Amino acid sequence: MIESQDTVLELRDIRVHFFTYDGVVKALDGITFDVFKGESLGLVGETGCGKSVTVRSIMRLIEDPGKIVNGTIMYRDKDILQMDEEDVRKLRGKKIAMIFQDPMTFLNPLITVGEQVAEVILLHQGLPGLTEAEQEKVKKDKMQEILKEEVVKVFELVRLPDAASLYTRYPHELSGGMRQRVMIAMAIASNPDVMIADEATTALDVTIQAQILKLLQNLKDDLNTTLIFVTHNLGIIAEMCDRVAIFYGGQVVEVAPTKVIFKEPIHPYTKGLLKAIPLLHAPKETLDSIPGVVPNLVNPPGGCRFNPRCYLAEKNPEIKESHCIVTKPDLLEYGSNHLVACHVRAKEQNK
Amino acid sequence: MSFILSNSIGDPIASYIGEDQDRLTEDRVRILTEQLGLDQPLHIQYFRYLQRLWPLETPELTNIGTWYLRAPDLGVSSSFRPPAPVIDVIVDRFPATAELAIFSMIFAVVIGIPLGIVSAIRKDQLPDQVSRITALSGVSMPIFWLGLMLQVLIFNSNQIFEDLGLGFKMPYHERYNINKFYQKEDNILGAVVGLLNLLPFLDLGPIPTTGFYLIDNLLYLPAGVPPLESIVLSLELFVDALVHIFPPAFCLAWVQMALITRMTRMAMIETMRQDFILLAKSKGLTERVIIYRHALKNAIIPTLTIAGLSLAGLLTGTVLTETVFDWPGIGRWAVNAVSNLDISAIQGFVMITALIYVLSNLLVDILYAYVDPRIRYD
Amino acid sequence: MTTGYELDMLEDDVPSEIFSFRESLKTRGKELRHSISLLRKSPLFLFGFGTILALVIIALLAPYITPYGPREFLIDPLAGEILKQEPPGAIDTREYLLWTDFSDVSAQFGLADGLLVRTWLVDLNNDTKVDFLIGTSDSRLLFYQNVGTGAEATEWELNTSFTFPEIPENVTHVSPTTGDMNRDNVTDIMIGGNDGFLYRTINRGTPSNANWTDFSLVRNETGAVLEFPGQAHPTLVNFDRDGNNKTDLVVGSTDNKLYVYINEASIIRHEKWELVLLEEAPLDIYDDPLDFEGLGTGSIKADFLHINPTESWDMIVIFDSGHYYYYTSIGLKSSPSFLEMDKDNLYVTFTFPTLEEVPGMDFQWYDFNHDNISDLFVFYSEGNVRFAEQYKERDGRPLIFGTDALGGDIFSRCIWALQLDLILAIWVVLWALVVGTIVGSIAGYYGGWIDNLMMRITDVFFAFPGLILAMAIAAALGKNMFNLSIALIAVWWAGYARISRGQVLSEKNKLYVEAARAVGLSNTRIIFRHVLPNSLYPLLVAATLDLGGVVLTAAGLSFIGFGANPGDAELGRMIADGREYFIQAPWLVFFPGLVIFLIVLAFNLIGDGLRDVMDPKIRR
Repeated sequence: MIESQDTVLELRDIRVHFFTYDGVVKALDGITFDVFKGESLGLVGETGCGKSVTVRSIMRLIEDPGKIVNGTIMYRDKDILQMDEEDVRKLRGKKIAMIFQDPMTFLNPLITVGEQVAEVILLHQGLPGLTEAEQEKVKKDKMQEILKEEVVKVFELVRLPDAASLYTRYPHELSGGMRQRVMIAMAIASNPDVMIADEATTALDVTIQAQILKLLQNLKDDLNTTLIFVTHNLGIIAEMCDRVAIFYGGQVVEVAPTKVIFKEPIHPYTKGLLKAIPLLHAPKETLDSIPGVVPNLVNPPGGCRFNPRCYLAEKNPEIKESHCIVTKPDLLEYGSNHLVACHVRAKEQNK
Repeated sequence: MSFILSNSIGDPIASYIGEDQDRLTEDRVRILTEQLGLDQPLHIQYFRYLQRLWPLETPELTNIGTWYLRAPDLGVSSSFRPPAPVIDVIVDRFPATAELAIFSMIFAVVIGIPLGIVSAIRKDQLPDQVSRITALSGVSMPIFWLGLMLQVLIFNSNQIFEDLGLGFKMPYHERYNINKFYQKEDNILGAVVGLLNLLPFLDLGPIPTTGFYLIDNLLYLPAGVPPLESIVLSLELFVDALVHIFPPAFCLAWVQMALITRMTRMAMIETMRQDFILLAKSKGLTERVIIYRHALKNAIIPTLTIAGLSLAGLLTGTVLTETVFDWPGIGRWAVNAVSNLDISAIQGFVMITALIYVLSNLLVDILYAYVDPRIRYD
Repeated sequence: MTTGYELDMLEDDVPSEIFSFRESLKTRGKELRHSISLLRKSPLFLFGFGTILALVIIALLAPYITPYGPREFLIDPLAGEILKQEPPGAIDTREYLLWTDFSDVSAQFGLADGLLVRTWLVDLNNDTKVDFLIGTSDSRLLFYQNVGTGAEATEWELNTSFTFPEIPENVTHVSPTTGDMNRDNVTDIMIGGNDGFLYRTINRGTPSNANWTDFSLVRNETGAVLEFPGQAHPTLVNFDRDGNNKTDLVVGSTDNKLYVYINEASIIRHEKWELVLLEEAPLDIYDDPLDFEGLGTGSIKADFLHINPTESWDMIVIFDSGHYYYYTSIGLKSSPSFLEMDKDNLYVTFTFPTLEEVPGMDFQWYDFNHDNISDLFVFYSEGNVRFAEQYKERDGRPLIFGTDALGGDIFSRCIWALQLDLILAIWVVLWALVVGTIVGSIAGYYGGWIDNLMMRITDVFFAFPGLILAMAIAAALGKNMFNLSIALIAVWWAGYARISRGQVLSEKNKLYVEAARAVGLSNTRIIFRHVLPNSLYPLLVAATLDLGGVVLTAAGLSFIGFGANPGDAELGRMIADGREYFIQAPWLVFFPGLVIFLIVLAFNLIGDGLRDVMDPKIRR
């Protein structure tokens, strides 16, 4: 499944804080995981657990009140967080591309979709097949034509019907699925190393969702890129991803290959999450849920952020007292590629 | 509306007769009442009023018995001695107001939008604070006070310039106004002057063709001098007109600029928080492309609305500015008309105002469709 | 929708009407606390708030902090009626300007009994010292040359070598006046005779080497001779109506009127035409012609001076019977409108010494000793001449903003005007709020055709620029402050009607309204006790912010002549009054405008701060 263990991205101890009037929101609290080349990695968690913030900090797209206060993100031996703004800009779209959640609000309503895609191509590749000196000479309308051809090619790649006529259409004239395809087209237009899909199918209805997922899967294989897939839908993860990272309250609690997660989850939160999946043929009438509520990130619980809701901590009050509420658990290896951050489990294994 | 207004303002007879109260005998009042149709019921008065506005003369009402086109009859403005037809006054004075308004609007837009953008991009930083204070003081500035203070400044600096031998001359196109006067006369003299103007060797000064001082001066090429010199002369006149339009236009523009800056700032801040800007950033576009290609286009829409609506504010502004600067436009005329209870003039002015409102809204709608494709196809 | 209504009803059976307040208070209070904590961090908002607070405190304390407050004064000395209150800011200088006793200087002049007709002060020989020209009742013009040293000299001596052309035959009583009638910068002389005619002579030579033409009759532009019923007293004065520096003529005679002749001579033709008297109009008080009937007897001598420290003309009128009156102009410099002052209770920067009103007397009011305070020469018909100096005992309070055209203290006037304008703004906004809220909530609550009708009416008010609409309404009602406020209310209510309609529309479907309806409360009660209190918050915010706009519009309207009358202490009116002199005296316009600017800026700063805090789109 995972052919090589080359890492594309190494995230180490990322901390992101949002400085609002209500106080400092500690959105990410030491996120650490690797992304391997050619895999598709799923990031799962409840709403507000920091998945989106994580992928946005990979592209350094944290908006004003937010700030990346600590950590390193290594991409090809360079730390993205230490790069200057211009280098990061060149990285965005070209090496790391992002597909967003809501195709309606993320497309500029006043610019034709063709132009929005052409922008990426022109910026990151220049005119295809021409050297820079030649590009200078090309006249503006001629340039438009070449670009249009390129865009149509990309449109066909994402299986947009009637690609040629779409070039001059505005976003509001397209259906939701088509818009999402346009967004994907934008992402793949410059053959990125890493594609990040941030809840890319959440806003779509189920049939379209399936089509888009399939498209993403195919594109990933065809273009041989790495896919980071952010979602709160475990079903999609099971279908799409090679590996999963489970998020809770701004921390990564468990990272493992998909099959391992579903078969033998170790972290109590992961277990609770899996129990909450409704099964079609299950005999039970009520759905299991994790007691308690999502933590307030302005004043998060100390140590492991899951401790107030954790049944393992409940069972082992002395460990909770000494560890869970005091220090943040580190990710420890429990098998090949299986990392878990839990004090209780760590103690159990040590015994 | 203008009809209602006119019926509620004062006694029309008194204003028609003017200040000479001795002439206000009972007989005369009765005759005038009949002449003006004031003895008729209100709805008939209203019908007649509409009839006079209608630009086509109906055959029943004319001796000729055919349809013919005429200028709408807006009545006679009695604040002039001798009284002048309102439509003539509007035709005569409106270009001056329009020129002032358009010039200051351009001024306001050219300065206001970039200022708003800078303010939005550098929100809460020094440029933002400076432009906010500038904009706010513009909105808070009594326009007539600004005008007067500007005149003091100009007068004093002019004095200094003159002391240095650099003063610009103040007499403002005497010949232009003479020509304007002749052109207005619908008689032999007007025709003769018009013909004389065609003679290439005769130099009669700038001729009111468009009614806009700036353009007329630019169009005017003095005869009898070498072409190059004539262009230089025309440019000199143009610069002179520019110097004269600048202070009132600046006054007007500051307020408009303030509105536009604030609106652009707000719209820009809002737009820069939109999702599609995030996408544009994730595409790796430069900040300049994001701001000018993606954000500005969206932010310009609410700004357009404000600019369109502020045409009304501009009219208000012209009333005061024209009063302060003695600008020969409709604003000053309106002030005169209102203080003299000159009903026809007030009606005419109100109608022009309403017309500008409608037209500016239409213009905004058309511009909307141009900028926003979502509206275009609806 | 969380109303909590059901809980309240179940738990302690609270009447529904209390509940709706409670809900609003709970949520609004929280919102408010949050907003305030944000606003505390905005320096611009704090500046605006502080300014408003300071201005309001200043306005409230106006009577205690203004150096010169409003004071009553008599406008009609004969009837003794209080016709007008003295405008705020008037400086009472009687407190510190005093007169010396009169000294007898008759010896200098040596005039015989009954010889005096009229005295005239002029520097006829151009030596920078003022000389006396005295017309006598035996057909002579006497020239008393100032023989002292220095410009401030007060020694005169009859100069017989300075000759004048022969006085016309039938004139025995000569009333001289001087002025440059042919614009050659050499002073000429005009005399009025007891035959009712005016004569003039032109100096063709130089001031020191005079070459007079013969006296000729003064005619108007049509060539008709100016004729008066009795002794004519001409006064050449430069009202300078069209700024062309030409001399106008005012003539008083025995018919209790003063006639003004405006000089309309063409600049180009001044070689041929020396004095073209075009317009004939009596001097006026406001719009009424000045009538001196009953004030005195005999012919009238009028003298025009600059008594107060502005360029506006002041006038002293002396009757043959010795009655004299002082007038000050309140209109424009070029077309003054004279207002009579009680000479015993003058408030401007001078005082009159007590003068006995002796028949046939004349006096000259002039700053002879150049100490910037005028002095007085009184000539009695029996030949007595007396001289009194005016002097300053101590300085008045400092005038930090300067004085206005009537010598009022601008600082005080600004504060009184600030008070007036703030009261006006609050009054206008309150009434507009009441009217707008009633109309808007009725429209919103009932809906249907009532809503349609009322909203179309408000649309009509929205279709015109506020200032123009207010202008038309103010003109229709008549020009005074109260009508101005009515016009402003008429313009402003429509905005509140819209806001309150929107609020009511959003409130009326909430549960507590339905509950109130279910309990069976009347519609009026529901609107005013339940819906309105809940929708009042945004209305009040809008109203507060509008105060600045009202001040600005009111000032604008006053500036173009609606609302406050000339001389009133209203900020816009003060600017309009100062407009005539603003090039020479910019402070007349600058300070009132600055106050308007401060008021409006402060309100706008508050508004801007509030908008930033309340608008979730801009707020962080």
